[in-house]
Amino acid sequence: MLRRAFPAMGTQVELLLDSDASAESEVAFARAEREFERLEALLSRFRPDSELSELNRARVLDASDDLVTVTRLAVEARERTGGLFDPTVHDALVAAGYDRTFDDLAPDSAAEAARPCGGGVQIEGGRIELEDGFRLDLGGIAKGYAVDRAASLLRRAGPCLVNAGGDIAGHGRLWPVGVATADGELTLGLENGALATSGRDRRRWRRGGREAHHLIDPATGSPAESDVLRVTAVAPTAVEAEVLAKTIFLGAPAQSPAVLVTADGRTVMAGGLR
Amino acid sequence: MTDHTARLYAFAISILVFFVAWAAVAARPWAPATPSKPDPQVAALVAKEKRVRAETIAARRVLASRRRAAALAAAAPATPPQPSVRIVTLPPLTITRTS
Repeated sequence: MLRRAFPAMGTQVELLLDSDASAESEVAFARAEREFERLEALLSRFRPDSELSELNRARVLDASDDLVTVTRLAVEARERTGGLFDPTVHDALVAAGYDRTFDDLAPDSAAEAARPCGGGVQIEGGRIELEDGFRLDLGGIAKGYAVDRAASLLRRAGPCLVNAGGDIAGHGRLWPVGVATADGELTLGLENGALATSGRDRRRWRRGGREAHHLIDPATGSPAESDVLRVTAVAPTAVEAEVLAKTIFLGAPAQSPAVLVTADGRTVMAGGLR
Repeated sequence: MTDHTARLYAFAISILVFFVAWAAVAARPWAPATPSKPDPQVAALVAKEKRVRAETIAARRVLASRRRAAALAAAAPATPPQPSVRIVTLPPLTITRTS
C-alpha cells in the first residue's frame, strides 16, 4: 500500500494507492497533489487572489470551467435540497466569526447580526453573476470536488482512496474507513463511492461569549442549532456526500447510508446501514 | 491422264470423302447438347461462397446494432454506480472526521 500526505484546503490530505511503487504511481500521486493545489488556488475564499474571491468582489465574472462547474453543482444542490444546502452563506459565515482560516480564528470576538442567505446565482455559459449583497462560500463542496478530481487521476494507477480532512472517495476495492461513534469507532467498508463527515464538534469558536460553528442554517443565517453532533454520509461522489452530510445535520431525513452521532451520546445508523 | 492415274485419284478422293463424312456423322450436329455433370469441387465452393456472404451480412447487422447501442450509451448522461458500503470488522486504513 502506497501512501502520501500533504496539507491542502486547510486540512491534511491523504492519498492511498493499492499498487506497487513505480514511475506510474509517482506520476499519479504528483498529479493528484497538483490538482489539490490548483483547485485551492481557484476556489478558496481565504485567498484574495483566488478566482472565487475575484467573483465575490466583482459579482460578475467570466469564470474558469472549474469554478463554473463547482458553482453549478452548489446551485443544483440548493435546488435539490430545498435551500438546506446554500452556497451564498459567505456573509453569514463571516458574521458568525469565520472570517479567516480556522487556524487563524480568534477564540472569541464581538457578536454580529446574522446575515441572510438564499441570494441569487445566475450561470450563463461561462459567466457567473451574483445577486447584489451576496457572496459565495464553496468550502465543503469545493473540497469534495477536489477529492473526486484527485481520485479520478489517482485511479489510473490502481485502486485508490483520497481523504481530505474526512471527505473520502475510494475506488477499485473495498476500503475500510474508521468512523468515530459516540463511544468508540466503527469501520465502514466503502467500495466505489464516497463519504463525508460534517459536524459542529471541530470547527467551533466563541462569538460574543456564545459557541458558534461553521454549519450555517440558511433559514436563519446563524450557526444551526441541532441535537446532532456530526453526520457521516455515503454517496456516489464526494460532492454529493458533502451535501448529504450537511443537509442531514440540518435535519433532512437520511435516505442513503449515514452514521449520526447525537449531542446526548447516541450513535444512529440510518439509510439502511447495517 | 492414264486410266491408272485417274483410278488412283478417284480412290484418294473417295477415302477423303469417307473420312470427312465420318467426322461429320461423329459430330452429330442434329443431337441436343447434353449437360456436363457438375464438378463437385466447384459446387462446394459455390455453396461456401453463399454461406460466407450470408454470415457477413448477419455480422454487419450485429455490428451496426452494437454501434447504435454504443452511440446511445455515449450520448446518455453517465450515472455513477451506486457505492457499496457496509459495516465491517477490518482494521481501518484511514478515518473520516469532521472537516
